[in-house]
Amino acid sequence: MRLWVEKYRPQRLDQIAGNATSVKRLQAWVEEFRRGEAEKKALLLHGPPGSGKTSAAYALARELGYDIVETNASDIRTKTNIERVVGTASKMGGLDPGQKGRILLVDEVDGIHGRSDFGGLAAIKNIIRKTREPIVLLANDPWALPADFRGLCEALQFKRLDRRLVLRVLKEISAKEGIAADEKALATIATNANGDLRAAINDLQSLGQGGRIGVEDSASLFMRDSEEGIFKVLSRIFKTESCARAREAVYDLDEDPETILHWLAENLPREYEDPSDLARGFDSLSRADLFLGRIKKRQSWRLLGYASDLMTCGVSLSKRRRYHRFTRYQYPAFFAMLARTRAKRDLTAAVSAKISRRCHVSTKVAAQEFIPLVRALFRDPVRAARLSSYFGFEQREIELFDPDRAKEIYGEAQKITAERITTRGVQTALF
Amino acid sequence: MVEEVWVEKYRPKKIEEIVGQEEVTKRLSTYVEAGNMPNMLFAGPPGIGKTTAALALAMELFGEGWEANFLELNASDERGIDVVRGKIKEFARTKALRGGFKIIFLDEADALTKDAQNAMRRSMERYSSVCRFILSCNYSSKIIEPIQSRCALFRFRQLREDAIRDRLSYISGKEGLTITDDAMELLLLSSEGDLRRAINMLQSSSAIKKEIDAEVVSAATSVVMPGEIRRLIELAMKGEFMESRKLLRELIMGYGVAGEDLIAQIHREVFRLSVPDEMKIHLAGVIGEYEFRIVEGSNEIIQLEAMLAQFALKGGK
Repeated sequence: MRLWVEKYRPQRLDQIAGNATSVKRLQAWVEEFRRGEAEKKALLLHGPPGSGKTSAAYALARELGYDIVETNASDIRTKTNIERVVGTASKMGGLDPGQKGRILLVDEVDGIHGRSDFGGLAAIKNIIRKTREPIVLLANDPWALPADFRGLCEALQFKRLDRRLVLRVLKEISAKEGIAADEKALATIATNANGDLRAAINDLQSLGQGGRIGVEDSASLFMRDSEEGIFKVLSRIFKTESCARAREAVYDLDEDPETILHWLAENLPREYEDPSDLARGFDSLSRADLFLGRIKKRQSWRLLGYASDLMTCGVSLSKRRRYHRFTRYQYPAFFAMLARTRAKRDLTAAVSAKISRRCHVSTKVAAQEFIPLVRALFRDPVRAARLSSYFGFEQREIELFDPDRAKEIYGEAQKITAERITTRGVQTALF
Repeated sequence: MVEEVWVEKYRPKKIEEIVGQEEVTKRLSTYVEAGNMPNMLFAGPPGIGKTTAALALAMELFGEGWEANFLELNASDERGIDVVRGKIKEFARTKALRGGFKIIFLDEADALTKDAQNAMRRSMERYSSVCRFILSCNYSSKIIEPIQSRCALFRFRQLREDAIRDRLSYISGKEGLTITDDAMELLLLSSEGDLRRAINMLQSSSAIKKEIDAEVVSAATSVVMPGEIRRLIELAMKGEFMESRKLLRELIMGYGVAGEDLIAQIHREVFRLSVPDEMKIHLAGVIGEYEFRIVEGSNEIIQLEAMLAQFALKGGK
């Protein structure tokens, strides 16, 4: 399977997201180099991962019709190796007519160090001095490079991408891939990526395998940066005995109340050891959830404040003793379970909708009362086929009830359906 | 088409066949005779004939091809009033084939927000010349006044045990089942006056055996093994909250048990525990409270975990 970061890598410079000034300078520098006017013979693109350095170099090469000769940290970069790959390329071509131009790309130049890459940086320095081809060096942290090395290069900074920019790209890719993605989920992916477009696109691909991305999927991404934020909030709520401080704890947190509620519920028993503290704490969460339920059902958003009070201050004041020790907080199992059981829930929803149409009940009643019935009736494969025809189940929907025999049951069901249609046809013709 | 689900197979096609709602059916019959009907509000608990009455009325009023004149919507599924209005508009646009009007049946109308109900009310007015509305709800008090005042109110009564027993016996006879007395009692007890549930339980039981005794009913109606439920309660009461929570999550996510079903089984199991009776009734109160909170709240797992924390507290004392 093709990685989307490759599939959607910009083909032209004007498609590079963000860092417009640096991208322009990159192009101008290569042109200057060709005219022999460049002050420095190497360009050092530095900036955080996923800010577009590699993409910019490749897009430029493509526009100019150049080849790229690349070495990165996965290659062994000893002195000999670098001289062989980069050195050879640097001597060839240049201004020879009819020869395709080249850009020599040394990725992760700040990663060349230690015994294994012994002499690697020195080799690059030599090559820079003599090169006839433009050399572009990429680094996350330019300060990890020796000063004399930096002095040979023109430095060009790439900045972390703006969240909105990342979001825009995610939307474009989702549209092209035909993924039904929840706007909020995409925003979470974008926020979570923290300016790293590559990470964001990779997350998008991994979550989007099923053709749709819901809010609960993006919640599983928390693990990265914002976890620190929620950990702080949990610790404040659990440790403090001040109502005001507990309430303030969630002010800066950009999370919806339900998410916070699940974090609190997951970790409450890890913190409150005393059974009566635990019971009181859970009672507060339970009552907060009551308000959330009413908000959902009746759209009474005014109630949100009470839910929040119970979750924060209510939980804080539920304890009769202090818990000083350090608690290792955990990611709510509920979110992981949601993501894991999503395929099954989608099937259940589809099946419930079909039952609901036939039996004149809501999908909720269909799921609660009729799915167990259908499951019981499926014990008999003949009846299973009749039921599948009756409800118009697809094969994958049949798998919900009988994964082993779904194919045969579906085949039989189709025969029954075909027969029924023929019979009806005859009846219509007669009357 | 051969009906595979008994609830449908034995659903009355005529108003007079509806059991246990004589006051309602008498009035509805007069509408059939007159060939006209007002907007109506059906109120009452689930599984006692509201939907059946609406369907039978449409069948009798419109006869063959009644479906073309009947739109069924469920407010708890049609999220947002815009969807409801869109469908109503689409349906009302074409002329009725028979009877001069069409029927829109909006089930679980009390699931609509106040705003949505107000929007509904305008739809009712706008299409009054071509459509009649039947709204169905559990509690008429949750329907806004202006709608109530535009509707004839029909209160459906909780079915008496006799009515349910008669119906189950009738179906058992037709399906060639034998059913023991204590099996019948168990069906009546667990269906709690909901005829639809009772028939579903009967059919589930019949999938196991044609000779239905209490054991068959109990096997058919409990999704989770009673042993697991007992272990869940015992772990919690021993104060091993984390262990019991783990089991709870396995039951909910692994077996796909609905919270309300699980809590009903916990309720049953509590009375089989070897603890003092006072403790049993105390726990029953706790369970009831959390069943209520599951219905009203947003997330059943949070509520069930909170309940386990209560169990852990009571057990420790």
